[in-house]
Amino acid sequence: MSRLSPAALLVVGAFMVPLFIELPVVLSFVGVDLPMPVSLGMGVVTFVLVLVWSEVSQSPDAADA
Amino acid sequence: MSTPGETAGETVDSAREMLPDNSFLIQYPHVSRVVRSLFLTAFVAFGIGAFMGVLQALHRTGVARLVDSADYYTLLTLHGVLLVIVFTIFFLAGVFAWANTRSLDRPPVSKRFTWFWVATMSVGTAMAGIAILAGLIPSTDISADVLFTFYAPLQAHPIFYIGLAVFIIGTWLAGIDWFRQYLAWRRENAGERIPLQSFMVLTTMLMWFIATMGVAVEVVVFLIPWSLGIMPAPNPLLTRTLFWFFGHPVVYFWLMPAYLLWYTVLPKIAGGRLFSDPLARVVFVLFLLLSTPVGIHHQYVDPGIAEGFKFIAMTNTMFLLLPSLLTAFTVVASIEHGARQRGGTGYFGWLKALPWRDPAFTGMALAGLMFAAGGFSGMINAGMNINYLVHNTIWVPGHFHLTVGTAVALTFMAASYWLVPRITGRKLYSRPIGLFQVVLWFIGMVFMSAAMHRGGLAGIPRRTAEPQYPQVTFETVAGSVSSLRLQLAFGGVLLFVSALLFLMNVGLTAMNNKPARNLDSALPPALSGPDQSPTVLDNLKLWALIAVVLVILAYSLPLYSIVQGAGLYPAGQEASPAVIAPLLEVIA
Ligand code: HEM
Ligand SMILES: [Cu+2]
Repeated sequence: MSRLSPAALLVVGAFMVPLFIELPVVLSFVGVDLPMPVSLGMGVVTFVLVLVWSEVSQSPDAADA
Repeated sequence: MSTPGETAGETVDSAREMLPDNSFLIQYPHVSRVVRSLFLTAFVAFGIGAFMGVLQALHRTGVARLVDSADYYTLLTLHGVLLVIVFTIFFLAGVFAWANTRSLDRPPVSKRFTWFWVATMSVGTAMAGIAILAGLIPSTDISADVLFTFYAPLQAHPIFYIGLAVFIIGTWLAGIDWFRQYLAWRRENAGERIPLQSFMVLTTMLMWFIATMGVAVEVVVFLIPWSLGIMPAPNPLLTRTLFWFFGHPVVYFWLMPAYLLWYTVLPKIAGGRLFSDPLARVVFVLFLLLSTPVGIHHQYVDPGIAEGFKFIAMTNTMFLLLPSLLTAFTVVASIEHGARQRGGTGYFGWLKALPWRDPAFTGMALAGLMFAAGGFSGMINAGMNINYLVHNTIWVPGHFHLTVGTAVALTFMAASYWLVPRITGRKLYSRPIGLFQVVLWFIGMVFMSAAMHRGGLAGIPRRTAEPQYPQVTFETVAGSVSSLRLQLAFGGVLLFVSALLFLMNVGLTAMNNKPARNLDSALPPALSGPDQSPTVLDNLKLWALIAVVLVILAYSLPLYSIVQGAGLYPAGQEASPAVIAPLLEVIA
């Protein structure tokens, strides 16, 4: 069973967008130059990780418990 | 295939019989029809406006130029007028007609009068819209490419200004209708507290009556006679000041209906109750008092207005943050209460218990969140000194697409998912599409608005078809200007897709044969009810009077000094009618 419903995934994904759009700006204040495509790419990867975490089912006994 | 008309009629008629007697549609079929017709106009305007929006986003970033740059201002005027004057005001008129009737629990006094103001608003809109659209047809000499901030020296065809005047009169009549409805209620309920939603409608309309005085004088006394050629061009600074007298409070005219929905509908959807009725009343009174005497904050760079007056406007503006912060507190507290009622626990764990699947909830919650971001960039705009950094740059559209373009527009879309079934009796076509749509608006706006803010900081101008100059390189804080352009255009496309999905979803809802269920429109009582709020809050006359005094204090000296400085008409021009002057010369 997935841990997050499609609706929850949608909302969680949406909240990640502003974070990864603003990340390069925030980093620029401390002198780090993170290109926007890299930041957005990191966002996509993070979302995929969340997706995997959510969809890969828990071990059977854990699910039973 | 069966004939859709018949089956539609049968299904929905039998569905109507199944609706509970206390549902709004059954109790007030006539008001429901009024609301439907107002919403229809609002949604048509929204669709056309959104299409102009995506054209602009693609055009000014150079991604795709589908129109001639010379027509850019026609599109931009259409976008501004259709979205912030037609879409917002028609929609809020529908919300107010619903809310006033629902909370007073009685219909408007006269059906005919109600339809009269709906027709007046519609005729005015059609006139203004035709004048703008005619700008795309070279063979006519009608045009109105003056943008939604219509002041001199840009001049539009008289049809545009007359249409605006007719439209504004329509909104006044609407306000009168709601006050009559309230007075009829008052006669039967002496001594009772004004029901909350009605209180919100009435304070908002009082604010609107005061605010529109400025634009009425601007349009009727100066712009119409000038565009008809019977009077000379007015003093631009004077018309700007009269415009912004109205132009700031109009933002609260958009926002207060959204607040009404956040205060009264959102807690219900979240499964809870409004946290505090007295606080909600205080907020609306503060907006009535403070919305208008701040308009000069749009004129920080106008020469001809003394810095001291600008400073006063800035101070008032900062006070205006208070009701919005109170709103943030009250609304979040109400939602948290709802979540805990639904079994949510923990410091933040209650967030999981909220009805995120419901597009009405999620849309309004995301709208509120973006409003917080818009509030921050608004504080930058409001500061006299830092305003110079962003004035007239694309930062400013970045700001108000968060406020009116999301806090208001997304709340209205989300509320439609809740309200349209209640005024049609038909089931929402698709909740998942609705949810996807509101989230897509949020994502699209994050892309577009962030790019606009950052582009503005780099100095990229707003209201420009081709802001690319070989002599100038814009310096960004992070990333390149070309990536910002792509980001803006991409966000604009997402927003447009979201708008289409919304229109499709409500359109199919209006044609849906499935009956709506659970249409209870009763709103739960507040945790801290009206009996705990001081009765003076309901003294509308007192607040209206104070509001007028504040406006006089804020505006009399600046207006006096503007007229003293350059006159009603630019120096050297006579105030005598322009058509008569040549005649006089011939005679002399
Ligand atoms: C499909 C969604 C939208 C897109 C793609 C979009 C895009 C844009 C762009 C790119 C501009 C700046 C043009 C320039 O300064 O050169 C603009 C201006 C503007 N937008 Fe939007 N917008 C959208 C939705 C909205 C909504 C929902 C509202 C309000 C309810 C709104 C209100 C305005 C206003 C008032 C202006 C300023 C017009 C002027 O400068 O006279 N927009 N829009
Ligand atoms: Cu303002």
